[in-house]
Amino acid sequence: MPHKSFLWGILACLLLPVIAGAEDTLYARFGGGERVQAIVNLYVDKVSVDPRTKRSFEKSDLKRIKRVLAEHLCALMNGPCTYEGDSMRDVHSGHRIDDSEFLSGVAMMREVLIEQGIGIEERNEFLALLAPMKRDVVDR
Amino acid sequence: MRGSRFVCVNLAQRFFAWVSFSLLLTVQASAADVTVTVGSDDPTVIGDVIVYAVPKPGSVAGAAKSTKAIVDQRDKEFVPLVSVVRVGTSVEFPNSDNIRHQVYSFSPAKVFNLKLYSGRPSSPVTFDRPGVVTLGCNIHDQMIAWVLIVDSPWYAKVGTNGSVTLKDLPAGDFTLHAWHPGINPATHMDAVQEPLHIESATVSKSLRVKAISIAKIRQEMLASGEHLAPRGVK
Repeated sequence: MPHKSFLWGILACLLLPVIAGAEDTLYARFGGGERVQAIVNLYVDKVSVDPRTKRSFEKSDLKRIKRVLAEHLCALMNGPCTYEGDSMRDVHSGHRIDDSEFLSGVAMMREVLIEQGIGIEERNEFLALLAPMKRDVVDR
Repeated sequence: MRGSRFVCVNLAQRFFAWVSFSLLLTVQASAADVTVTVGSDDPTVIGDVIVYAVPKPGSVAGAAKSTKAIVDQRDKEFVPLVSVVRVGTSVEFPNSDNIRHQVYSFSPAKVFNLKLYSGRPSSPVTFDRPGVVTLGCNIHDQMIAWVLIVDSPWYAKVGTNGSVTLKDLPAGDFTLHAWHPGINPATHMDAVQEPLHIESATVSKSLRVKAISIAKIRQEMLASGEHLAPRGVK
């Protein structure tokens, strides 16, 4: 009998992360909409004043950027949102963003995630979602 | 005798008829140029004032005049900040910037939302009702401009010297308007008005405009945090 419950235990241990993974989206693991919006707000406040990146945000409606970026990220992280904004190529086209500006933006996002107590696993998963966008963001 | 008197009277009648007809022609053919001088306590508003004359109903009819207008997007600004067009004019919105813009209006005279991508021309917008249209850009919140749509062919933007001439107004009764978006900073709709009677060839008028400058309007708009865009517009 102990043998049998031991096997059940192993099975439960094997299945639990799978079930948990299927139920908890990255959006949920971040802490939902309010947390995503807080991260986005801090990030936009940083990149729009940092001398390395502020150039692309000049004269722009930062409130709108915060709203649409949170919506886009929510959709990407399988949250309950649909992104209806423009493609990342249209959004960034003409700003002539270079590699170093892009990397500075990524570094600032990582700082915000750490400040907001997002764990290493979620951070990496999140940045991996954004990484393929580099080709649409960087323009030269 | 009776016969010749009748001929004379008849000739005289014809003569007077011809004279009065000629006079009528002269009056109708003579067109007046109206020079308007605009003054203001704040000299920075004068260059953005628009002067126009609207005929009183039944007085005179304005000649048809097809017009085109352009409001460009340049360095995250509308160029020009203030335009005047006649009712029915199609306005083009090119994009001289290499980034995208999203021009919108929620003014009752014309509601529209136009996505302007760099290098992709967009359809012009036809302004078919008189009124004031406030333009904004969804992406760049400090961009603001106005299009005044008038039901008259007699309009002009005042030069920075404060003087403007409306040309070829026929004899008749008009209302002379001087408009600036800062006369009523809340609605941008109001104009200074004065009656205008045309019978001689040249008329001079002076109007005084009390308004806040466009720079001030923008400053107040950004300070209040009030964005012109409605919710749900991406």
